[in-house]
Amino acid sequence: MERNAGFRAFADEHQRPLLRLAYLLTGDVHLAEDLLQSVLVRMLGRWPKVRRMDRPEAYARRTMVNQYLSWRRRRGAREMPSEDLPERSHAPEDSTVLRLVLHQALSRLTPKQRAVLILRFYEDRAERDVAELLGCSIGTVKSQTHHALARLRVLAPELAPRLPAPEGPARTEEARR
Amino acid sequence: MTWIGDELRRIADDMPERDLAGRALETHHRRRRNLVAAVAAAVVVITVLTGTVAIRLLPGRVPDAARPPAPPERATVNVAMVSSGEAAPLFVAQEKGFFAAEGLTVQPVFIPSSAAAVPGLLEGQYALAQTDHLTAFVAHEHGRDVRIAGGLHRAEPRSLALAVEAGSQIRTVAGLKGKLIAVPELNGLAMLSLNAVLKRAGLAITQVKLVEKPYPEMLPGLRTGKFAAAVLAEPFVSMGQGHTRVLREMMTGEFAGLPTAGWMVEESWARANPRTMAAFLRALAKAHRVIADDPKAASAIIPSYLRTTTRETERAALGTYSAELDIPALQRLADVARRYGFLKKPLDVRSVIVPPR
Repeated sequence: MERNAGFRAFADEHQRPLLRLAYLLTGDVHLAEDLLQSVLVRMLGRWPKVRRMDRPEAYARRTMVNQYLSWRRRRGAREMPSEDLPERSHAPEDSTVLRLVLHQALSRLTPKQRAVLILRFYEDRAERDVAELLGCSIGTVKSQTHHALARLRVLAPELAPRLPAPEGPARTEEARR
Repeated sequence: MTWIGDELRRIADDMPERDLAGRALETHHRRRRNLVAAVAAAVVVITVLTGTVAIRLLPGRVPDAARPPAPPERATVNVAMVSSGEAAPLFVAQEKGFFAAEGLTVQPVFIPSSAAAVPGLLEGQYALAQTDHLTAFVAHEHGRDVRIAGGLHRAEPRSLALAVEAGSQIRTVAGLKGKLIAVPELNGLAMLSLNAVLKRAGLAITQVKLVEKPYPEMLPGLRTGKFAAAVLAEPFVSMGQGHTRVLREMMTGEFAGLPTAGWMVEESWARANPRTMAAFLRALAKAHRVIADDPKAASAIIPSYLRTTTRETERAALGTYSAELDIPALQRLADVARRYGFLKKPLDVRSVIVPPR
């Protein structure tokens, strides 16, 4: 079937990066698979339309982020159960430990804060880009980023020196507008 | 490249490779199959429902029930009926040719009351007769070979009313003490409910005088003062509006919603003429459906056999024309009759009904 072949080609090319994004968003291997799976099924449902798009993978990304946000909303925005942050007895400079700390701190952010951070820094997207993808204003992206980073600093002080510098008061002011 | 970006990429590296395309395709096709199946099921359900509803809503176009291979044993039957609005379905069936379609010629014979039909029924003068059910119960208790074959009518409160002349001095039921009251029969349902109405007013049936009169003679009798009060059935209650006054609607309380008319036969006749009886009831059932579809069919047909006008019958509380036999309601009627001594023994009404063949 033509639909199957076209879809397979798309999946072969793009499912790896999509799965990585799903994992970062959900923080869990199984949830990530579920998320991508539901996105793929959704795309199949409207494949004739999707196929004619310039960049179907961009559509997949947008669908995934939105699906993730609405999932979390539907499940009562229940925070993922996460153990306490690791004891600070070992050298905080150990990069593996720092990564673990970051992973767990991420799981304590709100879904939207998480999504904004991932899109901004993992995917290296411009604020305008992220705003378009999330369907919100640039101001919202800025403030969400600001809040997310501030919260990370509170949750894991040892990460603070490595996080992007807090924005100056002038820029925050601008963001609010 | 920021530190956090690099770290996020490393975290993402923890995600194992998976090929989800096959699974997604499978799920997609399964859902499509389920959707197709659900749509197909919905189409079937809707078709069946529409068909059922259509058949019920279009009584005129009901395909004739599979007719027995042989024609009715009798081509002509005499049917005894009381002159009131209750008999309307028989005349609707007559007018629409439902009897003719069954190969049956029905000749209606008017009788003053259903009790009066019992002797004629037993002598073979009538094939079927209208009954207020109670007359059939009483005849059965007296050892007569009488059975109820089908339903005809169910009352509403005003279908039967105790009325006096408009200018009468009698204001209450209690005021009837010692007066003469016209009743259609001394043994039937009208009489039973009169007993109840008088009792509620603190009067015994022995404290009034009674005279039997057919319904059509009651309004003239009231007007000329032959009697002080009369038990009227529709459409005579409505016809009397203006020159009579209703003291009490009678089908209330323990009588509310009781079946007020049906058909009775001699059991041996029913056994000997099953096809005739079935044809008669089938034709009537069609008439009932016509009336259920358009109640005006009943009020329009009554002036064809009673001296009244459509204007009067349209005002009348004609009750419900139901061909079904409501066994619990019939039992309720028998129990009330037993309480007032119209039946000497408790009666299981199922023993008075022609068993379905």
